[in-house]
Amino acid sequence: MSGRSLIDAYLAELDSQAAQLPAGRAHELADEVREHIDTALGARGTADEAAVRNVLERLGPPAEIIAAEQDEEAPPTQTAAPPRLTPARVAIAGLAVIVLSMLVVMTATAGPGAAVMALAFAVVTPYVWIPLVLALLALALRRDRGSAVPAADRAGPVRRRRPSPSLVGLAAIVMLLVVALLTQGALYMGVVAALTLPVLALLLVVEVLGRRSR
Amino acid sequence: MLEYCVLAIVQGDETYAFDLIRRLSDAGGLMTSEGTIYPLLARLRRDGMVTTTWRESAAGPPRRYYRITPAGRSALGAFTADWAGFRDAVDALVGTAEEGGGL
Repeated sequence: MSGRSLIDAYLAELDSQAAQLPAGRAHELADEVREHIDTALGARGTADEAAVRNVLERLGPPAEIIAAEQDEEAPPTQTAAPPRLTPARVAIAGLAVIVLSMLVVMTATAGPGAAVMALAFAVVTPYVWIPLVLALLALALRRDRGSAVPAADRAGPVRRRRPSPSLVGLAAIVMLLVVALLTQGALYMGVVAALTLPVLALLLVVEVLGRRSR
Repeated sequence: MLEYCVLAIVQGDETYAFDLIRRLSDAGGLMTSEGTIYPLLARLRRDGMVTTTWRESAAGPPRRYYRITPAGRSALGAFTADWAGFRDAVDALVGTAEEGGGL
């Protein structure tokens, strides 16, 4: 067997084993190994059979390279699984935006005194903090959703499939708006709607993120 | 452990894969199959431990040169600190074992 055909056989074996890898990486790896062989032979200025055998032996069997590739690939895919934009982070950012935007808008339109009043109102009024608590509860529920799904398959007496937690939160806000409309009138409902709008948006984002990650 | 040897080499200066392998081989006993360095380099690229630049070479196709990133540097720094303690511990234990065997 000539040196050239030894190389071809080696690369063909690498190619067939690399079929298990992502296509882009399989090509890249093949290029890297081909270039390695060329460089190694170039440095010796020869492509005779003994030189080629030596280079290929030092490279190691293609199966070993592919196995190493698979070993290297496994951990990053596991660590890449938790998304950076976790629901909890979105919730915290959302709350910060609510408080800051309220302060800024109220200060600009009605002075700092009014801004403090508005903040106090937001803290005191149940129309704001109830949806917030519900939103956070929904986030907490979402966290153990993974374990809740297989548990639903178990023969439990009161186990039911939960609807999406953020949808529950959205429904709760709509319900609060209806209650506000019925008990306090349209103007009050408008105020509550304005105040809960960021929470509404937050829950929508959470819902969309949840659907994407599923 | 091999990855930190790679990071240590590319910390010194920009290196291309074949040269890197030659240096690892010259250090001795670090590698069995040279080909497995390519999967390792791919992971270091993915993890942002190294960056690469393609440069023309005097002979043959362009080469991919590897350079350490700040993330790679801090990973190497952490390893270097741990390694000194680990090496001393192994030295102490293995050294004791050898002396014990000699008695």
